[in-house]
Amino acid sequence: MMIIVKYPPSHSISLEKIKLAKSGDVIALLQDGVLYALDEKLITELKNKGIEVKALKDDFVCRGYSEEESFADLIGYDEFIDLTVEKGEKVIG
Amino acid sequence: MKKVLFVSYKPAMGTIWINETFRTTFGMYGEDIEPAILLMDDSVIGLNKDYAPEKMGFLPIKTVHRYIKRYETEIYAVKEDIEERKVEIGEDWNIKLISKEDLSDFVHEFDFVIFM
Repeated sequence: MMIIVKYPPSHSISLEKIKLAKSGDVIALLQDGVLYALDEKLITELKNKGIEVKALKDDFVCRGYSEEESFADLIGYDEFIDLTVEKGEKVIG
Repeated sequence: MKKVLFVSYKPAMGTIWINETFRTTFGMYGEDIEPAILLMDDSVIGLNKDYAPEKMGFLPIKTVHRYIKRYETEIYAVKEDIEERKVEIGEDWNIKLISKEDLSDFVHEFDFVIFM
């Protein structure tokens, strides 16, 4: 299942969505959701559960962060489309 | 037939979202889609027995009940959110309660889960 997170950590529902993830799911961080990519503890916990975490590079960098600051895997739009095709059979949006 | 879950989480009064969740669900009837609704966080207040959305210009609650009964739409609500907000569920509702710890497995039963 693919879980799309667009709201920042200050928006409580986005964390509730992240908590719904199970092993084998992929979490896609878009727009202000990319701020979660800064959270080492959370991202590490998710990866340890077998949950992939991807963040849109353009959204991350345009918010003034360097790529090295992301604990999530940064992807471009092309990869996001491939991800949607591959994992988008079931979606939480 | 695709299973779609519409999730309403914003306050039941003062925002349009629970009303829009009902309207969107009703719009799915007749499509090759099986819609269901999940109410969580402050949206569960819309289950209170004296909740009267029509006073705010929203869909009358009796209309909502009529459609839900006729098309046998499943309505779910998060148990802890109801308890936290001391909601007294109206008799006309047939609500299935889901605990927070079961939410992850529950949403994975659907094809699309749309947070409104």
